[in-house]
Amino acid sequence: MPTPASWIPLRWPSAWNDPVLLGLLEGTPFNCLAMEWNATLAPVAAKARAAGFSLMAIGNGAARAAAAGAGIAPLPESLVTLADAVWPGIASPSDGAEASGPTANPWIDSNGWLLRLARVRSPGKTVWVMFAPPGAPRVVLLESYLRAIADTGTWGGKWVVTLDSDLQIALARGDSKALEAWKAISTAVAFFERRRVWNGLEPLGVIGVISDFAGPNETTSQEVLNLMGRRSLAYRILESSAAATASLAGFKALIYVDEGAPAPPLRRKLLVFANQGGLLVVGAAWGPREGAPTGMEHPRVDVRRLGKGRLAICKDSPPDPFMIARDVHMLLGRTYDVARFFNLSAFLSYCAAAPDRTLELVQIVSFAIRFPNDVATVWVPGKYISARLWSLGSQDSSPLEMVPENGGTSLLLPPVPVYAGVELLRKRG
Amino acid sequence: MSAAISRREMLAGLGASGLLFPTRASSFTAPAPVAPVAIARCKTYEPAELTSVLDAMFDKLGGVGRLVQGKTVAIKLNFNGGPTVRLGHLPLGDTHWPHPNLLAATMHLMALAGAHRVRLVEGAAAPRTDPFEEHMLDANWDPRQFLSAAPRVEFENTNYTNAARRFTRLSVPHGGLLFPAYDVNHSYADCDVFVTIAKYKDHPTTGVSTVMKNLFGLTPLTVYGNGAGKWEDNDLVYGNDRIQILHRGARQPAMGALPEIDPASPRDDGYRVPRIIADLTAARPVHLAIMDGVKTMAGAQTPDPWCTPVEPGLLMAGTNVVNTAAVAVAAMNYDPRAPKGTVPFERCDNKLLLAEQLGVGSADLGRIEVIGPSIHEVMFDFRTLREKRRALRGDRPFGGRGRPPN
Repeated sequence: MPTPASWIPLRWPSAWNDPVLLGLLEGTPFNCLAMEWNATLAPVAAKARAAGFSLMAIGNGAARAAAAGAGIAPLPESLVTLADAVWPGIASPSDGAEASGPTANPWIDSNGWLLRLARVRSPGKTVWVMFAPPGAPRVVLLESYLRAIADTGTWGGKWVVTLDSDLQIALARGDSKALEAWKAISTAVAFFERRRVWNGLEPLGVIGVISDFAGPNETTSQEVLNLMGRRSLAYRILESSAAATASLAGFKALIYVDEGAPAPPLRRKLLVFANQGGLLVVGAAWGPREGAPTGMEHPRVDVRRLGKGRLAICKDSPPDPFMIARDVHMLLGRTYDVARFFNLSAFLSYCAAAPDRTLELVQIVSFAIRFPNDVATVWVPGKYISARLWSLGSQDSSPLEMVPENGGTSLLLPPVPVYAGVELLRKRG
Repeated sequence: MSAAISRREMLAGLGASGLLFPTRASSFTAPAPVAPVAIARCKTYEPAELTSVLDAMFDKLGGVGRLVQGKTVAIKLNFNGGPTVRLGHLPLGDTHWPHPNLLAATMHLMALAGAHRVRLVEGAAAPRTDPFEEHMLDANWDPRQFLSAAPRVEFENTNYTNAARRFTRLSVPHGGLLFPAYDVNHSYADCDVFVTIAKYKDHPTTGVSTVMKNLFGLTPLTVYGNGAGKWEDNDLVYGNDRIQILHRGARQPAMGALPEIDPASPRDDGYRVPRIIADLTAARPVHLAIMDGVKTMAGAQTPDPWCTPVEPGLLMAGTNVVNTAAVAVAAMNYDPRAPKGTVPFERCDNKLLLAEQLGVGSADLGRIEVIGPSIHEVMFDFRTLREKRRALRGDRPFGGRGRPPN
């Protein structure tokens, strides 16, 4: 029997009470069925158990209690489940208009930041993400499923794959198009399962976000993560409880915008960081304003010279997370970008590397619906001996052309309709 | 310049008489100014080749020191479209922005010639608090390349008032064709020498885009952009084009800028945009125009799937922007005096002729001295590429996101 860490979950549709439908799972990677229990599922559960599937109870308390009565266990504590996840995609308000931020970029719903936070908070644990496709009248396209899988797999999580009612019905009646879609979904899930080794890579980024990410700080700090990701600004997460003793090596900027001043040890550490040349962005409640004014006129932060570095104190409380993401990027400068992206519009990226930096990974999830056919370029500041492209569902990677540009390397990608993963190899030493 | 002044005086008289700008201005006016245009072949953007070729071209124009020694120079870049949009995989400098190495070589030569200060200016669609250098980095340019090219280098995003706190009003001599004056960033007035540097390309609205069209970008987005006036209280630019106010005339400029002369004039961008460009060439005289034709693209001003990257392998420079544009247009195998309705001005007025009528410079190739290889020798056939696009697209030779057939 597979262990919880190796479970590959499918939310078994409650309406699928014919055990014959388990045949759909043949040749797929799914080995765990998450069931919102009702008595009509008993024949399915019996056959699934006999076939070696792990069965887990989900749903409300009543459903879980009923499942327990049928011998189906709740999710084990060794799994972290994120139930407040969103259906990934370009946000569509109820009036049908695309939502957009002040820069007219479309708003993207993604669970990437949530997954990263969960993995920091629960190191070593497998993270399941629970979300369902939007209901009628929205039609859920295959690309939307693939995006949902990529948006979870890129950041090391597992989506409890949940089918919309139209696809459930079509699959149950053996519709050929639905079966094709199902195969593509299964292949995409299998793709990330085969690449689990990527989860051991460490996120790149010279900006650290420090917070307890909870209580009064939850909204602002989590939105900072979300919106830094939206502008492809690579960051690393530091929980405030651990930050005072954590190594700050490699960081060029730190953000601490929690309500209230930091505990004295953390405050001292952050001041040392700034004095030694770092950029420290803090909330209005920071306390005494160390350093000297730089004379820089800025509408949102008071930028002060502090030793070799800078202290930027937000003027508003709480600060606007969108502006924090933008301002820290501009105060620090794009010189420290870990990657730059061309001909990609609505997309998210995640850059990670092996501890010895011999392997770097750039992953892109594209949410663009209208013009996904342009070839894309990714520029990275390093030089590499090879670059290989992984497309969603591919069995193997393909070589990617590299061109020297601006002291780094431009990677020439084909169009990225949903996902691209690029492995970059450096010489050892 | 005496001819220009004389002509402007004449135009003023004609304006008062109501006879201004008949269809053939040259039939009753003194000739517009002319100055030599230097052409040189240049196959690559290697700094050594660029510097050598540019230096020789400047020498043929009388030497760049004559223009810049002890002076503050403002170089108007031509950053059209967003910094992260490429034609295929090509860097922006190979297709629709002037190449950074050409810019650096120009600055280097100006520094050697004794320029006091070089200011790189452009209306970048970036928030006010974003350093202009960051816009360059977004395009994967390295601003340090420019900082090391000359001793005193400044960057200015001209969408904002910045240190001046207010825009400067540039009046169009004798009244203007569409607006009587344009409010612009102080850098366009606070300079001794004004340089425009741009590629030559096709342009959907005005037929061609060269060193003249670059001046359209003098107009700040905060005054003339789609979101003008809506974002005055913070530091965001809303949108990155001027469709509503300048192209369509759907409303008047913001922040106290003067409205257009005749709100009843056509709302057609083929009428309006060429006039605005002509106005700006008159309101902000150009001292040096540098045309980057080493590599560029045919088919549009900003990348779309119908554009074709091309490598004509040449540079041009001239001290009269209209003359230089006329030679550039001719070197694209287009007629710089073509009337509206003919290639390349199928649906717009000819901005070169409009500028000529304003006395800025002549578009008459017969009067412009070309130094270096002849236009015929360096001609790159944009016209044939245009006709091929038209054959594929019917009456839509430009724009859109549809794809060419395989």
